[in-house]
Amino acid sequence: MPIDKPEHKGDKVSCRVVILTVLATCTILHCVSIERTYVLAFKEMVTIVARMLGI
Amino acid sequence: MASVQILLTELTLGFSGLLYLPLLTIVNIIISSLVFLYGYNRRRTRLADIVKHDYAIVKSTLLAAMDAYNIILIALVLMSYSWVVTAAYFLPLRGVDDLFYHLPPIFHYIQTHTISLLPMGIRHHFAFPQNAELLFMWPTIFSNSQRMLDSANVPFVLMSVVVVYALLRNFIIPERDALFAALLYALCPVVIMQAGSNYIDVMVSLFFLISLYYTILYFQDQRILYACSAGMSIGIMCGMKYTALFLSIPLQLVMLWKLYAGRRQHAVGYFSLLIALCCWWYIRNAVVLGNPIYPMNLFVSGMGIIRSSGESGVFGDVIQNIRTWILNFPLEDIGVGSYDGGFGLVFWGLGFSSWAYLFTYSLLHVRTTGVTRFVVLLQLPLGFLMLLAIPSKELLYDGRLSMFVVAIGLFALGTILVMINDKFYNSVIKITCIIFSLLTVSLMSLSTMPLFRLDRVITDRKNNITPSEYKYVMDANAVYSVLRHIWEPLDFLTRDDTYGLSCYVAANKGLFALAPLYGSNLQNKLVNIDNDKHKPADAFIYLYYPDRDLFGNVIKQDIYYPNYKVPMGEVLSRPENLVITQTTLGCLIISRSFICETAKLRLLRKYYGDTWPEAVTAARQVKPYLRAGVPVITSDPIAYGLLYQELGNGNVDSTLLVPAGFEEQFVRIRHISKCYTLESPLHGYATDKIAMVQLNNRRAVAIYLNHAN
Repeated sequence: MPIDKPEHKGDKVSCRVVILTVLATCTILHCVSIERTYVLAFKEMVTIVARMLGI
Repeated sequence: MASVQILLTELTLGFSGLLYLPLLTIVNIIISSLVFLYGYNRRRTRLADIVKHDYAIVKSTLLAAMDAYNIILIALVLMSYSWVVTAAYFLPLRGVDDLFYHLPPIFHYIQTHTISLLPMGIRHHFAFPQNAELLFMWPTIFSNSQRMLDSANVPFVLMSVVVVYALLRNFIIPERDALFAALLYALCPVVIMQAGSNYIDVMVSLFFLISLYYTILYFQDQRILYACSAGMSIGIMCGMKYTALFLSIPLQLVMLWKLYAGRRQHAVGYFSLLIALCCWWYIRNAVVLGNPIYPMNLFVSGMGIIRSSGESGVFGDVIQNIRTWILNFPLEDIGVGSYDGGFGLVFWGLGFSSWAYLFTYSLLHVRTTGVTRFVVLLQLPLGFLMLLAIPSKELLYDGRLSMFVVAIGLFALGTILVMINDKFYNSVIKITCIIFSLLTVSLMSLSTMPLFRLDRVITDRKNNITPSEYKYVMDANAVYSVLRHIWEPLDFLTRDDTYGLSCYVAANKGLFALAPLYGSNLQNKLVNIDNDKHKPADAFIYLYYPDRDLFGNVIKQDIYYPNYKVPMGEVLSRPENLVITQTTLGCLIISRSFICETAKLRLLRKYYGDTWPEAVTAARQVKPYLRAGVPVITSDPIAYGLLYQELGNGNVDSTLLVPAGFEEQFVRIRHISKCYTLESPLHGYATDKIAMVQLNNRRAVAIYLNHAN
């Protein structure tokens, strides 16, 4: 059964605003709390790639 | 279907004591041929037309699903899993649970041609259902090697992508969004990390998702194919982990709902396949151990299978965790960067929030949502409920048990992409997911659980050095960097032999990792694992934590001797045994008759020289002070340098390596009247300090000549 798509303009705006707000809030909260883990890993990855390329 | 065939043939032959490769091959070829012939005879069109039709469907589906975002994700998946497979080729087995209890049973089954119960005293986990381990055994029994075994999970990850895609397509999510969400599952942190190990959670999650898919299909359309497929997948899953029994309850309730009103043959097919694929483990445990789910107990904390210091039962753990877990777990992503957990930025940022919105939306629009969508969405809180049942201190290691919640979150994300129905916003979400996935892949560069680093391998290959792969566990963790000195020489000395060493092993339970002892080509046998008959051994491995001093009291660490006891002192008392390596966590002792062959002496000398180059240098400075005919008895690493010099002449008796702290006992039991020691003299002997040698690395070593009184 297909999920409902917003039909009317009013539905569209409020639906999207709610969805995007929820997604953005959770994303920002989680990223801020765990950013150090990924920053360290990304730096290490860049170092490895640079070493492999002889930079 | 392939998994069912593999499992049933291995189980049948294994429980009958007939698990031989030729027989297994012939049986499977016969079964596959019969299945093919049955399908061929029932076809209504030509085989070539069927193949062309299927190819056309796959091609058109792939073309419909391709866009720039999916191509980028596919490239990321290919890159990261190529890294996983490359690491599996060059690096050894290097997990924890897989080395301790997932892999030793299958190596044992391959060598003994029988499925049997390994000693419970080593690990009660050997009693767990082992369908997943038997699927790992399939490539291993053909290769008879540990190489590439760590990549055995990769095909199951790729199958998981297909299942997530199929689940989304069943709910009419467009091909591009469905493929996008499905590919993100392969780029989830815990999935990538487990793909490089032999943990079984990827497989359990895969068969859970397959069970969910076929349960949904059967609910929508009561066909016998769907009933049997659901029975097969639920049966396989329940034969992998005890916790799968509880995970399958909601799915089984849905199946029973439709089976009750359906045709009897559907129920017969469903139940017979489910029981055939999981009952053996529970029957065996009931008969042998008196408890079909040994050692599980829902009335103790940790269910009796997860470590816990609490006294409350499972429900007590749930109540305690609700207070703290709900706030911490989503933000901390406990276990991220290891095979133990970490659902990732995509799940916690976008997937979980999509699920939260979709679940709320579905509750508010109950009539249009449909039962099947609710069934799918409800699996996420059920997965979280299982995590709540884990004692909070162990959550760092057990988040992986609910890995399938990532797929449910991605299912919700795929649905949200359709609901938003706007090109710009969908692009923003997809680009964010791609950036998060790239960051996730970068976790592999720092991971030690498992290790993916290949720099040492590349350096060795450039210098034409081909050590045992177990050399590379030194970068995995502190314990393995020590145990490496047991595993590596044992493998290095025997890997080219058809029949390696018969090994006796005794260890502290926390160090009983049996898998490396079999060797990279499964060339070694463990003689005291399968029964209590004393068998001759060529090698002895003793693994132990050092005794601890607690306020003046020495706390001895107990060693467990499976089946029968051969104390280390007894082994050391025999002159035919030589200590090859000794570490702070144990020693490797091998019989002289094996080592004294010219080829083995050469290998051992090479191993000492490559592993302890500084000891070789130090030995050159110490050697001039030593007289011929008087042995050196020591646990000091300089012994490796002395042995390196002497093995070139085939001399193994000038320097006798002993476990640390065993010098005096060794000299007594071997009745040695005169010897050199390094660093400290022997008590009860007349001692002369011969020299104090200043080594190049600024360390000074004292040489003592000891005479018996």
